[in-house]
Amino acid sequence: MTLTMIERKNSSKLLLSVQNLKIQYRKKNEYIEAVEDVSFNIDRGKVVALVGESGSGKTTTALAIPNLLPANAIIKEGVILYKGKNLIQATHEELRAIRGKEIGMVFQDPTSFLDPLMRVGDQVAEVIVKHESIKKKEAILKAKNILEKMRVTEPERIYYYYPHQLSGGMAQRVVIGMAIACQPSLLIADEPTSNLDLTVQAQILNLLKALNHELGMSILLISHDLGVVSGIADRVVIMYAGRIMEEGDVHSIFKNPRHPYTRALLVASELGEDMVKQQNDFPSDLLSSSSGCCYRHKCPYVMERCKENPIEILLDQDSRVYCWLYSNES
Amino acid sequence: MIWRFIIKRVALSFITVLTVVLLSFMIIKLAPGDPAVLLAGAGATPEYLKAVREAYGLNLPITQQLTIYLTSVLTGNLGHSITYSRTVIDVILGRLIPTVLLATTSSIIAIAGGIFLGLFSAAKPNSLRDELINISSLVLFSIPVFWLGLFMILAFAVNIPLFPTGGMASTTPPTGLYAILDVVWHMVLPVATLSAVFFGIYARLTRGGLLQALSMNYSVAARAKGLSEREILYHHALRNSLLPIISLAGTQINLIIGALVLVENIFSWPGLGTLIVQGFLHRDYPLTTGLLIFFAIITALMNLFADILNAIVDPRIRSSVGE
Repeated sequence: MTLTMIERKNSSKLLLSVQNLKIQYRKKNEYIEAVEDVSFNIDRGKVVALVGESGSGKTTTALAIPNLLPANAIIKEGVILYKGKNLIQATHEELRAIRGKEIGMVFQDPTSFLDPLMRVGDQVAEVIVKHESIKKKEAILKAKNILEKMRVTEPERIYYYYPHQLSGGMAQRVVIGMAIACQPSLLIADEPTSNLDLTVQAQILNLLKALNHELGMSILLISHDLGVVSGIADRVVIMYAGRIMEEGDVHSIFKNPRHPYTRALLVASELGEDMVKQQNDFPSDLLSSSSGCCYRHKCPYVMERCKENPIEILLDQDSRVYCWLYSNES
Repeated sequence: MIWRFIIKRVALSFITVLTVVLLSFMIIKLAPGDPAVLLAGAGATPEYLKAVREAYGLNLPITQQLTIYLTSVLTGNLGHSITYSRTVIDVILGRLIPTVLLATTSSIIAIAGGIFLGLFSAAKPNSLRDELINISSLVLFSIPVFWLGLFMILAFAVNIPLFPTGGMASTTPPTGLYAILDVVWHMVLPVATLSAVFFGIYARLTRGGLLQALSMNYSVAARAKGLSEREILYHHALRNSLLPIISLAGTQINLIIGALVLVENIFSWPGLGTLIVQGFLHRDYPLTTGLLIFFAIITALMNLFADILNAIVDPRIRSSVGE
């Protein structure tokens, strides 16, 4: 694979570049492909959304960036360039210096990502002490300040709470506080609003938006719901079965979706239907078969050519699609 | 909040002990023969029997007898030992220190050593040292205590005479500091036997708890914060894996008492374990039921202690009591 045109331009603005990423999971003696030939860029100050249903490889892609994949995952190929440095080849020490300091992470189900036996404020202060050479006392003050910025009500009091005493929304504010405490350049948010009430969901999204606007923090937002990303993302990457289906700026994805799967996602989002539910009827043999378009079994526009691997088709200088329907447009 | 929790747990422990006392009362009632004869001893004179009947209210209706029994137990009167012709409390207290010495030393070695080896094991899972620790832990807790004790005597007291075969002190004990060293020298084999059995359990439990904690989401978050595996192990995983260890240590006290009885008898240790066997052999019912109640109190106290310790470590337990 060659670098796409999108990747070549604006290299000074470029913060993160994921190129031809291929990840497999080892289960007993079987190798299951989780991510295949995934490439995308994140510019400084931009919000990129990675959208797809469960099992599409979006979380695997996200975890691969700071090299936090579980032990049974293997990065077979690819390059992850962060500020020009390939993180796949980075040492443990280099990665630890980047995690929490340069790249912050926010997860789904925030309460489980907090140590149940530690005061939540101390968990924020912990990351500050780790990366900044300041005393515990100053870190505590700073952590309280961060909790306040995360719009935690009564940060002085909440600092001394334990995770089980917090609501899901409040726990997510603490986890976001933990992730951005050292002002990282990139925030990776993996389904940050799933399982939260709709009003809380909106508040958390507003908080992320504010972080992006006020601190110029780049965000990689992972979601199964196009509706969630519409108000915040600059660019959208659509993934299915470990592969990229379509990429474009948020307007072109919503106004002019090209890939049949993107259209299906849009319809699902409008109907309020959860694409997650579809994971069960996902044909598992597709995960291993590497030839042909992986969406062809569900695609209403399927044709003979779909048995071949779709190539990357650049539609204009800012968007691309992997679908034979557009082979004449390139 | 913590005080409320403690008060609640103390009340529960009290009920547990009370139940045991009730059961021991029923055992005496259900036992064949005249309880007055049992309490006074087989060779008691009719006058003494009458005195005992009146002292214990055996001529009264059963409900009244129960209240009298309960009040006497609650005021620390467990009756008179037949074989020692002293109060049961006196006999128990006279044998308490050797047992406490043996049990606490062994427990501390087993728990501290087990946690240390578990940490050592979990720091590098599936490495050679992990496998070695795993195998030896398994072997240790599969060995029956009595066999291990006899083996220890045969190996390190008979074949290689490094340590005494039994007892707590030499027949002519040395004086001063040497007296302490003499006791320590006598303690080596029984402590090694008793701690070996529990050591393996703690090592395996710690390892399992740590590995589970390291796979939890909060450890993923800790990694994402840039913490090293070592920092995660000591700052997050260890505390979390302590909870099941504390609970186990509390509930294991009855197993320790069981093993203690065997070890004390193998090594002729002058503690409560040898005392209870002598009590059984001489059919000293007041002594054996007294020991039963005493062990029940110790078990309840240790469980209470473990629960309080768990509540100190785990804020979720504290708030579950309702603030």
